[in-house]
Amino acid sequence: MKIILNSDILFNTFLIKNNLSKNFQELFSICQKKGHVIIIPLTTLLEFDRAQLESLNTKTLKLEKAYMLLESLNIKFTRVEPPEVIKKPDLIELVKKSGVEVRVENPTNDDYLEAHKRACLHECPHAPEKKSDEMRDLIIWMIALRYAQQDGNAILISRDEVHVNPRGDNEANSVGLIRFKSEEEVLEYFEVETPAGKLIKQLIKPIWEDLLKAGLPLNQDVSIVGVAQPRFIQGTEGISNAYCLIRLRTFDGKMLKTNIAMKIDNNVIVELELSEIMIDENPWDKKQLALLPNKAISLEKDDYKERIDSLKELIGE
Amino acid sequence: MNLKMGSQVFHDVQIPLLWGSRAVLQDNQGRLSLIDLGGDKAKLEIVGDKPAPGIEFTPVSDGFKIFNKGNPIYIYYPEEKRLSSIDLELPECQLSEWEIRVGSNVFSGNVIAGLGVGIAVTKDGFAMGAPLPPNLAKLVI
Repeated sequence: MKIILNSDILFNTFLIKNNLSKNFQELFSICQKKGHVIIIPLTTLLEFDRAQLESLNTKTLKLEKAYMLLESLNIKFTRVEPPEVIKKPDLIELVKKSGVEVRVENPTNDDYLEAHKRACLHECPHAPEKKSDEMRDLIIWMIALRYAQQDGNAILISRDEVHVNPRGDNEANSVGLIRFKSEEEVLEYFEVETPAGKLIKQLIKPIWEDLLKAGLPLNQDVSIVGVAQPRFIQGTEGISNAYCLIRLRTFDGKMLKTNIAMKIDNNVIVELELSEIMIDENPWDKKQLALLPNKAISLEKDDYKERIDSLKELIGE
Repeated sequence: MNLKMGSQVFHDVQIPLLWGSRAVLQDNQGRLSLIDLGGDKAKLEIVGDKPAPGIEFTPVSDGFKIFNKGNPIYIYYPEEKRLSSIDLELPECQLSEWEIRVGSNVFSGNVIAGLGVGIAVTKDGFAMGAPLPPNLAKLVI
């Protein structure tokens, strides 16, 4: 599968030294193992380079100022020329580090023409009311559609409104273009354990017995296949609520998918609600389940009182 | 309010650093708190490097993502003291012992006194020393 990156998810206002973020390193490493190819549209590359060059210039200026200060104070030092220590990162090399195949994609003439037409006519996914005729986003959209059409599917990672808004749903669905707003969402899609997924698993393990007792046809041993859309709400004693869409393995090897909502009080899961329970895409006997597990979880003890007191002191309350 | 944050001395300012509508404060242990002043009442979002009670969040590598009504709005990286906007259209902000970085601009060793806001960051840029923007909730918790 081709995975197309928009510039906004790579955007950094500081100079990247040796590596992209841990999430990206993990994503590229997974892509390498699964044989996926990373596509960097030329637009993304140019925008990344521009932002990095700005950071490089700022850092160079800072170093020159530091040298001037040392000189003005007659402090001896060995001058190292800024280009020797401050270097512009090469995006392609950074991606390649994980071993994944990466390609820079130049827009075709057809991509340009179609993007140009949509920008001028304010056609989908361009917002009809938008004043700015954002060609760059539409060009990336055209490249992503082209790859999805060619291969039967593709992933676009972007937070840009043009790419993620529902106006593009029909067109994306028709060619199998899957859109994610962050690299973490793609990791969840690939069933890679994210920090949020790990936390959900910590919460599920103590209540596995309760799920079995409620009649869910699950494996005897905890068998979590994937966690998606995890969300938590913080309380004063730790996490107070947790939500996610989870996929579990049944005892006969099928896939059980359900939404889970948990209420946690002082590190005890007090309420558990399962909704839209499906087994291999078919609704289960019960549409939903509500349980009162009353099971303790072992999460880090919260130090909220100390932190809020410290903040109050700062504000002078 | 008087405090030292990211090597700046803020003296008699109401809000030392305003990131969009969010007041950013650093306690004596170096931990950041964020308070959204964009509504009728001040809303705590981060207290001492951790999500505040009632706030929807999800952990990410080295940090956590804050949500508003189901939409991710920004990520905070506690180790790096870095705020990265997702849906706020604001430049990244980072505090270290020796500077405050806003996008690619760096503030270091300044004294800001007698103003509503020490450093105000908006989607269009930033200002050092600014009056308190209108319609902000009072900074009380």
